[in-house]
Amino acid sequence: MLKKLKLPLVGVFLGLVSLALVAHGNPGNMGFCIACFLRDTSGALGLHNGPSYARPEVIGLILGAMIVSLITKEFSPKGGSAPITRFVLGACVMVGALVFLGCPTRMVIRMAGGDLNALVGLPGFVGGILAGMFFLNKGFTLKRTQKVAKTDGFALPVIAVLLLLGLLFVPALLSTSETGPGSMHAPLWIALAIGLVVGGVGFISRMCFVGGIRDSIMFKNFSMLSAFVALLVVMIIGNLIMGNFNLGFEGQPVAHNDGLWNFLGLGLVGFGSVLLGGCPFRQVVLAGSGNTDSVAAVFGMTFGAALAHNFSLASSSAGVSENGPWGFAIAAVIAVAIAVYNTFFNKKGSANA
Amino acid sequence: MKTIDARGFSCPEPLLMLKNGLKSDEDILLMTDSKNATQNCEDFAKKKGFSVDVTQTEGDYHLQIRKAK
Repeated sequence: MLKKLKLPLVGVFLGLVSLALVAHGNPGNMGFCIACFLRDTSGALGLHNGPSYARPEVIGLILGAMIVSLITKEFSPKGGSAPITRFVLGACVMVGALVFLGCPTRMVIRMAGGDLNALVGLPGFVGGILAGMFFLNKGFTLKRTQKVAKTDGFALPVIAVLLLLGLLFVPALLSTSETGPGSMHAPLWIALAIGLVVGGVGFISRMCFVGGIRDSIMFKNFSMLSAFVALLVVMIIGNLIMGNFNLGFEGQPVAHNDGLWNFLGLGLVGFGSVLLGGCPFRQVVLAGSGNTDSVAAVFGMTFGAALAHNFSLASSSAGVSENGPWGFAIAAVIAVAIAVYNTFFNKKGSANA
Repeated sequence: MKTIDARGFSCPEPLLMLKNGLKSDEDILLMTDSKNATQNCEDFAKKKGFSVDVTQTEGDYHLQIRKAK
């Protein structure tokens, strides 16, 4: 019974902490949006001039996953499964996420806030996952991982600690936005503590938004999807109580109402995430537990955020940017090319060979 | 007995390999180095009516999957 309730409880927990983060200062409907956190952190490092803030949530997420995986003796530095391809796919996922304005976690959070634009994105997200599953069923693979040096596994957690030290002792080194989403944030210690706990819970539960939909369709396993539904329900109730529920398309926080691009943006997120084996949230958690392939995907997402803002591909509340459709098209073509090549022309040593 | 070497692959690939393997009537030995894949494959095979024995050797998991009698 408890095993069956585990994932819905994780969804409830994630909903509550998302509400708490917004109540303490994070932008509306941001909650625990990994794409937003990585974009802001990318800006904090000076990689772009868009929203910038070294998000303590992402630092906590990495360290929380590392600590819990060390405790459970599951911290195992592994990698070598097409890291550069994963880097590129990560960048493509981020371009899609910034056209939509959010990752799958934020899609659910936006829906729970009454943002119907996110509801338009949902079929795109499912469509992208279905397209990715087509390639998986045809034999798509990024090949086997291998054990790697311990230092590889600890590299990202060390970077996270350095970022935290920077935030605490030399904050002037890191860019922080004075206006816009990057300027809105919960107090450091609250965000860090929540990140640490969510990282640990995320590692134990193996929570993944893409996996929830993928496994429901592919293996008729609905347990992960239940977390998704629990998160949605808790946040709808929470938003209603806090007066943050605003049903409609217009005037939604950090969102635009261009349906086509909400649909396509999340489609690319779903497609790229299936090829990576997990959503952005899952990638960050795995990266913290020593999976260097996921580190490559996280670096790719951080790089993708820089591309999206430096080349004006990212949308804003005003709508999709002029360059957005072009950037999206390039990212989508690259992601499809990776899928086609690693499905039909790269069989040797694959799972199906 | 058919052997499926899923070591180095992460989900859903081991699960897909098992799903394809279960199409034949043979017993299966599935090897994986992922605890997550072990749990997923064990749950999936049991749900499909197979019996599963899991043994752990040097970081690898061996799943003996047989048709339940």
